[in-house]
This record gives sequence, structure tokens and C-alpha cells, in this order.
Amino acid sequence: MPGINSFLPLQEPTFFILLSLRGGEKHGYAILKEVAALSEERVKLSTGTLYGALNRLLDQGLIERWEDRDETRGKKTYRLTRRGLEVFDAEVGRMQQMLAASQQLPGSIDQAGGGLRI
Amino acid sequence: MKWVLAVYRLVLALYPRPFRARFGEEMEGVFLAGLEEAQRRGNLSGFLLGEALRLPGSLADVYIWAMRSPGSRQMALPGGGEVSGGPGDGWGSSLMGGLPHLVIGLMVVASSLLTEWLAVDANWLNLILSGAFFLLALGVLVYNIRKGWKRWSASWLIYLLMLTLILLSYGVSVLTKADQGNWLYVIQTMTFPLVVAYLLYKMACADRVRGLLAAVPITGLMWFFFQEFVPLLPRMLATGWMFLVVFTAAVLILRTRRFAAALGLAILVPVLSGLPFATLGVYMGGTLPFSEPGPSPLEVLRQYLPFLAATAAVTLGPQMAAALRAVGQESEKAGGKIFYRLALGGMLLGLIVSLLQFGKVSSGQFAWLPRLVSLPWPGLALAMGIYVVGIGLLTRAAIRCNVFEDRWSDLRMAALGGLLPGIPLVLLNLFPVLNGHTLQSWVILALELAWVGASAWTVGKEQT
Repeated sequence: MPGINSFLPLQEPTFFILLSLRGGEKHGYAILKEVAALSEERVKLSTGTLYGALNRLLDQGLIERWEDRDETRGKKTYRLTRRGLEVFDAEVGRMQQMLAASQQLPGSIDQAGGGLRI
Repeated sequence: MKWVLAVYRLVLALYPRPFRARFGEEMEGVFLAGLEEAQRRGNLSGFLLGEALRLPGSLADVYIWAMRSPGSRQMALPGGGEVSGGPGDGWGSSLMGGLPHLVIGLMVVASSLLTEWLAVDANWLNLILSGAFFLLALGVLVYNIRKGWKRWSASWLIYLLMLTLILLSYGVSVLTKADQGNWLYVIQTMTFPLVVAYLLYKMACADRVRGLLAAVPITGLMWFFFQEFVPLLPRMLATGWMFLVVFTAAVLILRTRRFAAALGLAILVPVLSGLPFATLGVYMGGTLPFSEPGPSPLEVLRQYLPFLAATAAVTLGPQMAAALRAVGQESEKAGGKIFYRLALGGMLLGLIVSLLQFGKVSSGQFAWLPRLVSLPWPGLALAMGIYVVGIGLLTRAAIRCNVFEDRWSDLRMAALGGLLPGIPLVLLNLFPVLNGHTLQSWVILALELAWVGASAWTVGKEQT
């Protein structure tokens, strides 16, 4: 099994898919909608790109899928695995570290004031 | 909206079958939900345009992942004597693995005989036959992409790669001027063997049996060197025999349940198919150097054995490199992935030095290269230095990660580390034969044979 770091950095669509599942289990269309909402419409997945990404994440063991509890709908639902959660948290940690590093340099964007810190 | 959904179902057919079986129904549902919402919002064309524009990227993504995913590999993992954790492939699949050798063999023999006896234009005939095989192999490629990668596809892919390289170089030679021909030779000498070696390595990494299957035809074709000046009929008999041996070996490799047996069959191919070529070359062709006393069974052996070691290196090298990679991946936490790449980088440099030496001696090219790289021994010393550092660090990483479970594992790792440098050395020793220089001593030939035996044992043990 590859180490957590071998998955990093995550591609933007992958990051948002994991982020949407971080909030709880979802079916395909709900993921599609939430990725668009979370990314402020910047990441728009087509049906093909969504399922290509879900296929990869399933094979990598980062998410799992099972039949919806409401059997009449026959939908498949996706949720994060423990490993997926670890990868997601590691990516967030990596991004936080990058952000912190960038804020320490002279001339970087001051998060609090929104202006340049010289 | 029914027609839009019907078109989308057709689009879904472009995805590989296993992918469609897994997600087809869901994708249709999600597409329909998106379609209905877009219709409500009056943004139907925007929705359809978005789906259409992202389709090529999505298809490429799925196909690339299908080629790399473990599900399509049927990989033989250490710890099980069986190559796929179950019985060998069925007769149908096994015959598919042997079929390209039979087709190519028939094409080569038939085109040579037709050209000679019926005075058919050789250029046109070869172009038509190789074009037909190329299309057939492309069809097999598409079939495998759509249905999932079958193990037998390795036999076809290696011919497809070789034909592509040949057609590319043919196209370049037609387009380039005469004074640029030497550059083409330089590029061919350096790239063909390295591209083939890389492909064999990647196939062995994905599935050890596929690595063997892909190496088998190359270990047969290498003997063509001996056929120069040999009369047509004996030459075609040896060629037909070679392809028959390769066909039989490929079928049996796919049928067998044991990796060691598959490896033995792969090594048997050059043993059986090479001897007639070496004999014909020494007795009827012009392959024996003038410095040697004359044709005799002993001189045949002195030609045959270095070639045998080199062809065995083609089979064993990728397997050993894949084994080293497995150790590197298991010791990833202690930097194993970096160290195995460093060791294999040393091996790659060793191969490049061997190829440069061959190119220099046979064509007078590569004079512009730094002496450190182009002379065999300094270049090899540098390559071996890199390799030794890499293998040392990898061993330390593997010990830290407890990769070696017992004394036998230690021994196999030591054997692997010690035997891998034999690959560039065996290839370098072949070039005096290729260039018509004096043949090597019996001591070196005995050492080469010992290397083949020890390497085969190590690879066989590592997989069982």
C-alpha cells in the first residue's frame, strides 16, 4: 500500500470531491453539485470527469461505495475511508504549511489586513 | 430529451467495458439529473457543451488509469508459486499469446521465398505485409483497451512497438538527406534498445509473466545477426524454426501455473532457436572473424555462448530490475524509492555506455562525446559507482523497514545486487562478436554462463 505522501499534492477536483465527502456520504449528483458550490463554480465537473475521479479514488482505497439505504432509489452512495480521511487531512496540513510559509516572507499578503506586509 | 439521452448512451460506449459495468447506470442517472436541471434553468446548450468539451479528457483519464490499475494486471506477487494465484490461462488466451509469432514467422518466411523465387518486389511486399500486421496489432490494442488488458496482449504490444520504431525510422530516412543518415543511425542505435528495455521493465513491473512474454520474441530475433550471407533455404528453415519455438514457448508460458517454469521456457527460446543460426553463420555465413582458425563445433560455441548470455540478459534484466523496484517500494519509508531509482540509474548509464561502445566501433560515430562516457571502462566505472551507492543505500533502507523476513531473503537480495551489473557487462562482451573481432576466451564464456544460471535462480526464487 503506497504511503499517504505519495498521493500528495491532490489535484483540485480530487481535493474538492474529498472535501464534499468530508461532510458525509453522498451520491454522484450531490457530489457534482457540492464540488461546484464549494469551489465557487471554479471547478465544474462533467459526468465523465466525476466518475473518472471516483473510479480512481475507489481503486486507491480513499473512498468506498455501497447501495443507498433507501433501496427503492437504487442509488450508489460514496463516503470517505479512513485512509481517504488521512490523505485529505495531510493535504490540508500541507496547504496550511505553505500558506504559513508564504505569510512569513516580506511583501506577502497579510491575511488579517488583506494588504501587503513590507 | 430522449434523443439526447440516446446520444449519451452511445458516448458511454466509448469508455472501457469494466468502467461502464461499474458506473454506466449511475452516469446515465447523473447525466439525466444534470440535463433536467439545465433545462429548468434554460442553460441546456451550456450544459451539453460542458459535457462535450470535457469528454476527451475524461476518456483519456479513464483509459490511462485502466492501463495502470492493479485490477488489469493479474500480477504475480511474491509468496505464491502460481503466476496468477490460480491455474494458468486457458488454451484460447494462450494461443492468442502465441499467434503474433506464428503470423510474423509466416510473413517473414513467405515474403523472403516469394521475393526470391517469384521475383516479387521486396519493398512493396514488405510494406504491404508489415502494414497489414500493424493494423491487426492495432485492432488487438483497441480490443484490449476496451475489454481490459489481457495477459496475452504483451506478445502483440512488443511487435507493435518494434514495427512503430521501424516505420518511424523508415519515414525519417526517406525525409532526411543523405548526409544526415549518420545522425539517424546514432539516434536509432541509442534509442531503440533503450525504448525496448524500458518497455520490458515496465511490463515486468506490472506483471512478471507479461515481462517474460514480451522478451521472448526479442531473444529469438536477435539471432538474425547470424543470417547474413547464409543461403536462402537454410536461412528460412532456421527462421521458421525460431518462430515456431517462440510460438510454442509463448503458449506454454501462458498455460503454466509456475513462474519458475515460465522463466525456464523463456530462457529455453534462445537456447533452442539460436544454435541453428550460430551454426549456419559460422559454416555458411561470414560471422566468424578471420583471426579464428575456421568453422568447427568449438568455434560455433564461441559464437553461440556470448549471444546466449546477451539474450538471457534481455529476459532476466527487466525481471531483476522489477525485483529491485519491489524492494524499493517496500522500504519507501526509509527512502527506498529514491535509492532503487539511483541503482537503476547506474544500470541505465551502464547500458548507454555499452550501446555507445557498439556504435563507436561499428560506425565511427560518437567521437564528439566526452571520453569518460564514450570509453567503455571509465564510463562503466562511473555507472557501477552510482549503482553501488544506490544498492548500498537501498539495502540499508530495506533492513530498516524489515523487508527481509529470513536468511533466504537476505541471500536473494545479495544475489540480486551482485548479479544486476552483469547485464551491461554481458552486453559489452557481445560487441566484439558483432563487430567481427577476435572471440573471447573460454574463461569469460564460462563466467557468462555462470551469471545466466545464478540470475535465473535468483529471479525464479524471488517469485516463489
